[in-house]
Amino acid sequence: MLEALLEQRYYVAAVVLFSIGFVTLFLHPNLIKKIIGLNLMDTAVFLFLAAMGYVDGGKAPIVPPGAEAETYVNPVPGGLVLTGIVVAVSTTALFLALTHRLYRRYHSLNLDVILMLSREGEEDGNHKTA
Amino acid sequence: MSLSYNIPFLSILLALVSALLVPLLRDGGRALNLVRGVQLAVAAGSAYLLQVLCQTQRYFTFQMGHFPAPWGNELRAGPLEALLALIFSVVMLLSLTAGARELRESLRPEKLGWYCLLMQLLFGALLAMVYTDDLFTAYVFVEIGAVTACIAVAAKESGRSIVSAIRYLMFSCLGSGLMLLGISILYSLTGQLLFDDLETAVVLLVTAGEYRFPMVVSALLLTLGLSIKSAQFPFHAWLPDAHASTFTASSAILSGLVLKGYLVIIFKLILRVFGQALLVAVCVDDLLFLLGLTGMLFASVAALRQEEVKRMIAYSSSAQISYIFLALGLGSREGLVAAAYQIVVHAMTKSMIFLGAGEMIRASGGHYWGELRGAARMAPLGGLAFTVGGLSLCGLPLLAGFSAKYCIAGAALDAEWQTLPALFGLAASSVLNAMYYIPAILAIWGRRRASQEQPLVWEHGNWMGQGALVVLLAGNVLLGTAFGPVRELLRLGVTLF
Repeated sequence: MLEALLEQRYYVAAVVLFSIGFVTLFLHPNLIKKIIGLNLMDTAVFLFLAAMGYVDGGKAPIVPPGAEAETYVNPVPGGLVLTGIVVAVSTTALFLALTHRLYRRYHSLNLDVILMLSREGEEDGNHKTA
Repeated sequence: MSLSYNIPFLSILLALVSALLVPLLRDGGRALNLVRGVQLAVAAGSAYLLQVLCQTQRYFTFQMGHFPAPWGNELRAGPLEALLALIFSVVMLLSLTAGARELRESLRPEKLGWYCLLMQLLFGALLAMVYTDDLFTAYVFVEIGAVTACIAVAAKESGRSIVSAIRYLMFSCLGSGLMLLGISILYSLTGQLLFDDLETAVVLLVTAGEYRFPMVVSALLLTLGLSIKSAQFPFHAWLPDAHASTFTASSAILSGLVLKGYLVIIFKLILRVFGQALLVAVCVDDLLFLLGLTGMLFASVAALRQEEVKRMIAYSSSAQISYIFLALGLGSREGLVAAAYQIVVHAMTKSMIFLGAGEMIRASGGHYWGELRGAARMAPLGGLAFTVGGLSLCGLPLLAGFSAKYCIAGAALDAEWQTLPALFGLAASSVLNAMYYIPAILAIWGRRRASQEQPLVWEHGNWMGQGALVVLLAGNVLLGTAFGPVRELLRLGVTLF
């Protein structure tokens, strides 16, 4: 059992990281911690992808002309991870920008408090229109 | 064939390049005209492509940069892809035309250009989702679509819209994470990312009886991720606020189109990667069916309780998306045709309902039912759009919603155990739809105060916006009356998908 876990250590680590990220993203009310959770989740998937392309003892996949066939690391997962990182950076930037806006408006980073304040503001607005 | 061969690539390129040109135009009005012009051109190109592909009854793949797969990237176009591109561009164009007045009035002038950039990027992402032949490219454009949709929600800059955008982003990120995990597992099993190669590899693995469990996990993760993104019950918590708190044009586009982009990817996965036989064998079709059945009932019950018009329409969207899942879960080719019919019908109808409601909200100045009493008399065309759309979703014959339901019911008759639950779900959901749409329709056409005579007021000076609503109304009636030809076209599309 332990041997199997050690053999699959990258995948096990990816699953554990993904779970921690998921729990933090959905159960923690603090927006900054949610962003950290989101990044953990993304990183877990990148680890999974990178581990998948890795070949023990494999060389970097740069093949000089005329070289004989050797064992190379699969380059495609690396490319996918790079694209994934770009996507993760964009969503993190957007998340941070929205968090900044909310903090300026409600002076809190707690999503529960922000939701309560926004509902109160909405009800006040309705009373005024009525 | 040479011109039509380039249309898919040119459509995506035009959308993305015009999005980059938008910031160079200082005037927001010009930016809006540019994006609408491009959408019109893409609609015309897609209509031509559809006609050519229907005549020749074939599909083709386009090699990006002329590198053959797997080194290069590929686009694929058949009649269904061309039809979806046509519908998406027409609905996008009409939504931005009918909602333009609110955008001009509510957005700061310098922000209108940025909003147009967002919409055009979203349009490009939707076109790419329709035409792409590569799973990872689909993921990248799913993310571009999600980020632009979130910013479109936040663009209103109210506290509520920003909170909604952040919740939308959270769910969207979870959906993407699961989707990426599913793609990773699938890639580790097959070593392929192009749909055709994936299909071949999956068939080989299934025949050899290898890696069945990881393949099912991958199919489940992809389905779950895309279900969260398309707001399928019970993952719809983000949808009502996100669609209700933003501009009318954004609501129409988010509800009518963005949700469908993700469904197109599910469509591709079912038809071109896993194959219906495998999904039926591991009961993923039953999962889709049950998600659809519960969603169409629960989301409709939730819609009944809404006091705010846009929230009610948003819940109704979740219910209508469930129809598509139900049809996909029937596990037959006719079910897929019915799902495609519902995708087309809902794209046209829901955008029309949102735009009609937007006109009434603008005229009456309120979002709640109490404030909207008599609003249709102040904005008759908006009221008519809401009425026709509502009746269509209730299943009134000769309107688009009826045809879609009829198509789903027809497909359900040939199913195995799903026939009775599907027919019961359709009937119950139609009654529930009527329970919230008909009182709403009666309220908007009623008098504001019993003592006050209220004449119809036709507003002048917004001809383009009103014309857009008329086109949507005509489209709805056309989809309802031309049931036979549309279904034949979709059958051909599904066969060549």
